[in-house]
Amino acid sequence: MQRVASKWFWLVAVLLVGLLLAGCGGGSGKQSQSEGQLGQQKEQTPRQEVAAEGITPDAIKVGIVPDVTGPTGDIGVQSQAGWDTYFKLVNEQGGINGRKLELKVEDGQYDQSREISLFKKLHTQDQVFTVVDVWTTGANQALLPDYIKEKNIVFPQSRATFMFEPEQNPYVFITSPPYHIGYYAQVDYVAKEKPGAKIGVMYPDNTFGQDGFKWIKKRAGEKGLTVVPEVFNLSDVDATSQLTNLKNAGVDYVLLVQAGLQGAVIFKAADQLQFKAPFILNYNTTEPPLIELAGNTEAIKNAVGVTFYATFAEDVPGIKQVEEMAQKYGVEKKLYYSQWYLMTWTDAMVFTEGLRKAGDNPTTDTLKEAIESLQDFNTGGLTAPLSYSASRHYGSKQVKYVKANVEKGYFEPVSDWYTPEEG
Amino acid sequence: MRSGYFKVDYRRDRELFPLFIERLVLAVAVVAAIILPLITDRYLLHLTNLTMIAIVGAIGLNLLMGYTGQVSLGHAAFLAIGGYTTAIVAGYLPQLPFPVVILIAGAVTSVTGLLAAVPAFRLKGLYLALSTLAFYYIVMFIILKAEPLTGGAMGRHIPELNFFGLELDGEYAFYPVGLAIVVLGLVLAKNLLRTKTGRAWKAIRDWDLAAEAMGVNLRMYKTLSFTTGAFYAGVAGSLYAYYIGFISPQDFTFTVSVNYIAMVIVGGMGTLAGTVAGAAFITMLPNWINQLAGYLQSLWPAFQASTAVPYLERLFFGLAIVLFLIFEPEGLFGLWKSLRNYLVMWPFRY
Repeated sequence: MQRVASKWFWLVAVLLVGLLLAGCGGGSGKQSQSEGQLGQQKEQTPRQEVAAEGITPDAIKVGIVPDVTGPTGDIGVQSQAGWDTYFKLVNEQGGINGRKLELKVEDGQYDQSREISLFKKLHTQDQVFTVVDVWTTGANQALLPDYIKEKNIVFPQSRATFMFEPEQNPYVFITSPPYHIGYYAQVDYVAKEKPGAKIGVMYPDNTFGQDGFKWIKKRAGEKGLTVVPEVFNLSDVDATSQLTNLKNAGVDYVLLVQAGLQGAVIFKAADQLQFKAPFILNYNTTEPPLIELAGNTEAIKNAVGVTFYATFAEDVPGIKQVEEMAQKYGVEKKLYYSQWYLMTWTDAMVFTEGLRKAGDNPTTDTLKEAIESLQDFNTGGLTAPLSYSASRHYGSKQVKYVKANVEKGYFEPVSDWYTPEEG
Repeated sequence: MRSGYFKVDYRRDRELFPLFIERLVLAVAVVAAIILPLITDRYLLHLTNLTMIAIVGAIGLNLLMGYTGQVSLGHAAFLAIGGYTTAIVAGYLPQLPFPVVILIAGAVTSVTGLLAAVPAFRLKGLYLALSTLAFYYIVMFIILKAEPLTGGAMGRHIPELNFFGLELDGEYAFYPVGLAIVVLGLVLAKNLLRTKTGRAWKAIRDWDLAAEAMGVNLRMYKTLSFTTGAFYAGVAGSLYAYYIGFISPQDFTFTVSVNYIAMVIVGGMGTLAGTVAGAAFITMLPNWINQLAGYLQSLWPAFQASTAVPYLERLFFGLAIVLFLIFEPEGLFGLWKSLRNYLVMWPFRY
């Protein structure tokens, strides 16, 4: 009898929790999208006609879907912090035309299907103005038709080139160059240092990695370099076999197409194998925390990185502001000391500047036009000046080469802004 | 005085829904299915659509695991084959009506089910599970490498659902399609299980040696189970591809197989009603957790909902499986059965 009672206790407890959660779901969802509530606010504040979803007289609700706890969660939290801190700064300065920015974060967990669902949730239940950031290349690719359907302005974390064709994808913007420019820069460096070299490429076997490999292979062909491919996935924990293959193949350089801090795994294995070929890091790997994680390895000391944004070694107003605001809002160094933080910070700069220019009653269409009208937008040296147009939705085509300063724990530029020629 | 519900003649045995309470629940479900798109928002309808896709896939796994006792860790591979077949067929023949494409996807997946069935002739339990896992990795390897057809890791876009020139796009257009296929799938499975084949599957599940001694052809019926399960999974994969509009290997990770197993366990192995409940439970769980986290954050602003959600989700996911396995191995269907028997016997306990 006691056994039966305890069985029922557990089952009823689980079911009740489930039902309770279901109840919570319906309730909060409906509340957040209450038309009546919106109407009430309209009456209270007659100064504006509220034109778009997610915009009230007092606030603009914006969603993001980063990877907070998935395989690239280490950089996802940095990316989230960039949006969050810049929005705090804007709100402290009075918001956008009198409206505060509200950020609604949903963790995509590097799961395409989940990201797609959360995008729909943000639009339907949270009724955001726009989902300004979606993480994976795959999810962005799947959502491209939805961006058009929802007229959703997005600055995707993925910079995969195919997304930045304004004729096909009119609502997709970035502040940096698209990925292929960075990959070209990686190949160009090798072609200049050692013409005819043999290069290894370590990339994950997913949409992001295959896209990167495709561009590197193309550029290497144009520059007369030989390519040796090696798959190294984002969740792999040992690079010994891949590096052994590359060593046996006699490569002169290894180009990384990785994300997050996977470079550290590769560098440690490289040191153990006494692998001498220098590494050329893609933008997503040129991360300050990588230096600490890689330790005092020869691989990190000899590595050359490609970056789309300024480094923390540079004395430019943008970096100073980032550091001051981080201190002011209590953002930990491990969060802001990152390219990803700088990227979303800069994305947020352009997004909010567009909103300001879009006027009192912005829609995503007027926002799109406002961003397209930005010319030589000054990011305080975080990037080269950004210019957009109806036919170009990436702000810059310029990159910098950097090297690690292991003692100081940051990357230092070894070149000025450089524009790789299109192939 | 009877002490429960028993099928005492062939007429009762033939009835699909013999009890009033079951017919009542069915009627409520039909009404709910009709009015759901009218009362729900697009996000919940999206989750409902994903649930319907999961139901179709989970029926396939339940036929294989719950009714035939053949453990499979490779269900995601069948889903992937269905999805990619749809992407390829619909991509090259965009004018083909979607029911034809879905049938082709199911048929192609069914044929690959033949291959997965071969190890089942000689293997059982853990060894069979490992062979299906190997099958999964082989299929995913082929998908990754067959880039001209599948798009490799870059994935493939799928044209919108086409029904004789009429394009069905979005959550509301997909809903009736998904619902029709779920109903069809359930009716087919329910009837299939009442045939000689269904009885042979159950006999194999309960004791394969005894089944063979009674004249059940193990090879044939195991193969039939794999091909039928694969057919359902192929249809589910096809629906998923059509619905999302883009697929890549990341949509068919090993976690997908695990989720389907969880659906079958939580819902109740060897029950179709449980399959529906299990698929809904596992598909909706992330949303419930998300809402709970949001609610907790509104109570305690220091609570970081966005970082807590995945951990809560894993906790509840694991807890649900463990608790059901320990306390109610028949899953949600077991709970329903207890409730149903209670209502049938009321006011008596036995």
